[in-house]
Amino acid sequence: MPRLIANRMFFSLFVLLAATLVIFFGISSISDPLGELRSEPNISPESLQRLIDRKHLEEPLVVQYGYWVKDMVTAQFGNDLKFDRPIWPELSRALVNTVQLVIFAELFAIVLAVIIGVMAGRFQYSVFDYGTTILSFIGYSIPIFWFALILQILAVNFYQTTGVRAVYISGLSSVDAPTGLMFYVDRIQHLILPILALSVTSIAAYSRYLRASMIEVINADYVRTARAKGLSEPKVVLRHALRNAAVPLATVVGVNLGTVFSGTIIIETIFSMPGMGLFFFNALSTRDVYSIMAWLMVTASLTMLFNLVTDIVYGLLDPRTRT
Amino acid sequence: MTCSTSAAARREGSMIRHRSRLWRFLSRFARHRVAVVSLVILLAIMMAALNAGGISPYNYDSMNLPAANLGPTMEGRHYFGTDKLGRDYFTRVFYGTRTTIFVAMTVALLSTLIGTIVGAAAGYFGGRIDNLLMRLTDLVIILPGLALLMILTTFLGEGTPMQVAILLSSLLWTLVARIVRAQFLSLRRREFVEAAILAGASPWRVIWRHILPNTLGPIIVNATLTISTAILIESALSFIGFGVKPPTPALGQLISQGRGSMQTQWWLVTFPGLMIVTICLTINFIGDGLRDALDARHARRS
Repeated sequence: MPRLIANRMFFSLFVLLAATLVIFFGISSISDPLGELRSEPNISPESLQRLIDRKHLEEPLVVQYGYWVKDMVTAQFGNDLKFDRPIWPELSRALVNTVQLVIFAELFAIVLAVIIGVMAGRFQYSVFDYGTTILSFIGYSIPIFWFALILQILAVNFYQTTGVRAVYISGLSSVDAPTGLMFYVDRIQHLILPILALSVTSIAAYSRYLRASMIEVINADYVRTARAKGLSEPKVVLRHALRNAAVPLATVVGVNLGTVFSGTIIIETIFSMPGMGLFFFNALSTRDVYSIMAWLMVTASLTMLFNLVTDIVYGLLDPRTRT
Repeated sequence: MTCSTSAAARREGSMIRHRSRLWRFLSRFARHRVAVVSLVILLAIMMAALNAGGISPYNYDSMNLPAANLGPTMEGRHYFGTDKLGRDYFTRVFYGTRTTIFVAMTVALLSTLIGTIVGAAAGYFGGRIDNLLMRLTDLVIILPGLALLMILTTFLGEGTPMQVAILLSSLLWTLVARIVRAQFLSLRRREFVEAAILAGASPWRVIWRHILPNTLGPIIVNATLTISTAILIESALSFIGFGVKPPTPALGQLISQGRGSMQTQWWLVTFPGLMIVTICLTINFIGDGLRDALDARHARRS
């Protein structure tokens, strides 16, 4: 297992190197870093020239690539073009916020999906099974941005009719955020709606997969043996059936994380949450290629990391892959 | 004489077999009642969307300020209300549906075409070609799709429906490719394929006449479900302003325009969204029915 991890990490380094090439030359080939600034009337030719000098834009692309990689390694992506602010402080803050959102949303989705999947698989063709099947079809069909807006409408209506501020519909903390324990309560009140909106698709997908593998497992010989031994039903279902049914779920969660990450772009824009998604949205709106490339690099690294973690979890769940 | 009658008989025989196969498929599909109902609803929506100009007395862009911000009402046939310029929202939603369905159908066709070619080549020829094509597929799968689409539409896009469809297809072919490859790998070793190869059939003929017809089921199911995926992605893109651009209405774009006043004019956001949910839901149910009818269990769930 440690050897596998070491191998994979070594391999990841090469993939990341390839990613720098693809990202830099890909972005350079479709965009002009100064495109937006050139068309602005209140930027003088002198300051444009200063920008060109600072980012070495008159050198050949290969040399520019070298400077970009150097900046990335030594100066944490350097500064953005328009405002000359360092990119990393904002990006790292955004990263923390997004990881927090994704982890909470995925945990919520997994817990709920396990409950639904186990129940539906154990009681196949019951009312619960049919009900959750229809719900999961709806979960697949609902656009998360629309669901987020509907949640916002409902939250505001709830506040207007009852006067109770149960949840917030934008931001990550209140302006006058309380301290201590109440800070976390305030944070959760801000996170509830984004988590709900972000986890719909995951809940639908995971619960369906778990249901299918539960049905497969529940008729297996070892489950029958466990029952024959006289184990209690919860023990049979949770200890014997669920543990084996959960193995494919690990892969599905790993694959799905990319989709969830895409979802944060939309959810964070709607709920004005200062995360990776909003960072990317803003970088695209101002067409700041250096911020865009930094974002892509961080996303690529995250993807590699997630894949590594998925493999390790898979090894923990399924002893056969531990070699 | 005898020769021609036997040929005719053979032709007739194949026709009967063909019809009975189709008949079996239809009767199996008809047994999935939810799928049949879904198909009827979807066809009705598509007919209405195609005929968007004829289903209401209004134009999608004709303003009428005295009738601005009306809620849904039977009066004046503003079933979905009007927006802040007094444009009939029912008409606008169906025009938006037309754009959205056009994009999604194009994506389903294009991505299925690309994916089938890639998957067939990889599965049939194997070896180095397979390796190369599958690494390419893995690469596309691992890319952050939505982000990439946003970048491409920012720097390259004019936001026409066709362009959005092409960009989406360039990312959504991977699943078909994997399914077709898996099918080809298993069919490639079957006796009837080896017999055809031994009889001297060219690779093209073996792929086209012998293997591909046997993989149609999963391909069709997958193409159907791709329509729903494409609708969701295109709507999300259009919603955040990176997809189909005004003045062409699309459902996601209508939601984005109605968002500013959604707390008071709830219908501006609700109806286009319900339209998306309805279309995707019916497509998913139809896909489920097709999967049962075509016996394509191994095609993806969604």
